[in-house]
Amino acid sequence: MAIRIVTDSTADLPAEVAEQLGITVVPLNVHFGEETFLDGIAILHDEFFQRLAAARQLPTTSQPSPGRFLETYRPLAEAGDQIVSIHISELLSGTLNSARQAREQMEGGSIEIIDSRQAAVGTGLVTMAAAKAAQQGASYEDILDEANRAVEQVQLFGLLDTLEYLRKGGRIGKVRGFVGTLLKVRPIITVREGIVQSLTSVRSRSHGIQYMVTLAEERAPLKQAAVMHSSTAEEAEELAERLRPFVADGQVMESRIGPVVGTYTGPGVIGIALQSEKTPQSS
Amino acid sequence: MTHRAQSTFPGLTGDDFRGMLVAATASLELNAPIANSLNVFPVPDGDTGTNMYLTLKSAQPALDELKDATGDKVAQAVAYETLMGARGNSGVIMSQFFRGLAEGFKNRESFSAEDVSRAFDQASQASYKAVGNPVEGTMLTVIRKAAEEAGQRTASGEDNPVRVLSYAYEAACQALLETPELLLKLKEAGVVDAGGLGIVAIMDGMICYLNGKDPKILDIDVGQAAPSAAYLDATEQEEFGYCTQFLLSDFALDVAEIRGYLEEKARSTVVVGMEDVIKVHFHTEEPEAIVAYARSLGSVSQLKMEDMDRQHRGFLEGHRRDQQEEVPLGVVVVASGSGIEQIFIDLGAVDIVRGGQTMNPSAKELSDSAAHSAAAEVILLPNNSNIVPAARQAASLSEKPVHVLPTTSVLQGVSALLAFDPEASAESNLASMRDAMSALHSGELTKAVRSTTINGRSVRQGEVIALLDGQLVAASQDIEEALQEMCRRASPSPGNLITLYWGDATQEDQARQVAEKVREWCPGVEVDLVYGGQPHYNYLVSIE
Repeated sequence: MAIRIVTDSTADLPAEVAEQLGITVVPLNVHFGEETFLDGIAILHDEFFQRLAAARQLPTTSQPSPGRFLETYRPLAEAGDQIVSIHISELLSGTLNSARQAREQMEGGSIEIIDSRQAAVGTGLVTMAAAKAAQQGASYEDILDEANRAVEQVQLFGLLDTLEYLRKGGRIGKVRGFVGTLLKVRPIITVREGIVQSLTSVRSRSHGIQYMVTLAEERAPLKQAAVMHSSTAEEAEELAERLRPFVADGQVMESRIGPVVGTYTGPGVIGIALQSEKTPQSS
Repeated sequence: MTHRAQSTFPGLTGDDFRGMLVAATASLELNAPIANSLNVFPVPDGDTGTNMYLTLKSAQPALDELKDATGDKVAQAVAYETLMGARGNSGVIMSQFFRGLAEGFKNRESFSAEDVSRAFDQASQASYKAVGNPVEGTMLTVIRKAAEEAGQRTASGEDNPVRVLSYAYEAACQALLETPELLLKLKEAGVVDAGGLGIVAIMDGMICYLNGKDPKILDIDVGQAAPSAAYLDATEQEEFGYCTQFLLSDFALDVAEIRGYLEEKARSTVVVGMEDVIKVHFHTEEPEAIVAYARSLGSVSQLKMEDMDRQHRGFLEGHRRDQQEEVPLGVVVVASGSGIEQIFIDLGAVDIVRGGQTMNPSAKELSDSAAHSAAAEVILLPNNSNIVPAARQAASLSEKPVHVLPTTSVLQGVSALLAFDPEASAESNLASMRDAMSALHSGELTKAVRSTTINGRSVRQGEVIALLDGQLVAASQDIEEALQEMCRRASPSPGNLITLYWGDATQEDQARQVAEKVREWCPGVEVDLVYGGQPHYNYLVSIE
């Protein structure tokens, strides 16, 4: 009997991290017109962003069906394992609802479903916190505590080229004042209380990156940190390097933004996820 | 498709139910575009109809293999297949609806009127459980009303399952039309619920099949589906060009293709309706070309084009003040130049007072603007050192709380406004805006109007002078030379950003060449060229 951690593909966990920490990833779907792809399985980062750039109509996404969750949970439960299933904020996706419907239909088995109230690698860090605890042999209750603590402590910040994709996909609420301007302006977004919010705007990419480094510094020491990017690996590596001094164990995970998350961020994203006990007043 | 002749029903068999489900799928396919067009938040990316159609369609192969099966077998199969194939939240709710039906039909080879009403009751309960927070005015209400009607009809002695289903269908239609009364966002958008429409389409398909008819497009008023003026206004961004709307009719319009075309050519597009008549709304600088395209497809009526530029200019003249929504905290700026004024509006300034270097507004003008602005509390950006004293005086004159952030250039003003957070307090805004304004260098290039001495250096009339943070750094007959010296003094590092705002006396291609030069002089620095339209200054240059 073991404790198994399940998440979904929006957590954008690198395959090797998921494997190392024994995390099962349930894919969402990406739809380009009539074509449907399993997120991160049938369509990968590079191909997705190429298609996104060329697509006449924006892709759409859909949550995993309850059946897909059932197929994931059933073998684990039959092996006598306990399950902790951690997912993208319910206010951004119906994924959590599909997971709940699947649990409803299971006969027996212990499955705890947790709303990370996060997105992208923010969900990733919450999932990793639980998986690390599981690997260290923590009890079911302790793992749940660890995950719920991470839900409170993880923050995600992203520098986008534009809010257009979030707006078109209906994944951002009220945005402050400006929509488009003659001036080149880049938004910085965050996920707060389970929804995407615009935090501020900066004039250039390097200003935005500096802004995020300052956010990390204010929150140091960090329990966990990650950088995410859509297709600028070098820049992300540099950013990771700058974050390292603020992380307790000096580790910064690098995450590629996958197709489902990319549908709403568009190309050209760089961002960070942090887990800290400290919450500066300014945030 | 084979039809079943209508007769009095001993009970619906497994094959009847299969036929009903196939017809329901066809009905969803036909009606999916209507359901998609009913999306209310916040833009027409709606896929509710498509998701419901594909969810039910996923059961098709399994149904084909169930010829001569009992009714409960068919019900179980559709419940299982839709569970696996559920797409989107509406698909998930639908899968639970079928799961409830299957429970109600358990151990029934064929379905009596009583079975139908019991199954609907179970389906309604299961649907409500499919969502964390059930909301009325959605497909849940439509399902529940149908179930309640079926229950009442059976209780009062109706024993024909087809009639029970027909009554339930009528109740579902009625419930659908009432969804806007239950859900405010539907009412604001002037539409009925998309998922509810999907349920009605499913039931309509089933009844058509039982009556020996082909599935059809639902008889729902397009007017219901067309977004209301309030919805269109809400989706309106502050943009240039023309807000254009018309109705397009022909016997076979390809809505998806038209939508695709418009999305490529225009902004804020809304295309709703059915294949014979659609309502089109979009924003573009060149509406004529799109209207011509529409005329090539069918007949265009109720054409309306509104000049948004004029509406925009109206704002500048202050005419929109009374229409503006009251905000707790807003920013009033002093600026001149059409490009720069536009930028301030885009960034959310509540009012602009025309003024600048040679045109200092009075304290009264400033306090009047603060008083008439739509903000209860005002942060005032004078954007010029000569205007700061008048701004402070205006603050003391004003009845509203007015705070002066002593910006000395429009460039500082732009930076400060970018850092403005309308939801934060004035105090915390003043702190972050002060940080933002001091994080940049402001450069100005202008022609000396007379010979004089500045900072101990003599300048001849007609020479171009370059000021960096108010200090003279260069004077030259050649504008590029002066700019180059300014850049040298500012010595930006790689990763910095230089923004050049070209003024009303400068030509665009000349400005482009200058921007190219700046890129050469400052390797690794991002250079942004923006139309400022400001008087007197050939270029305003921010280095940050």
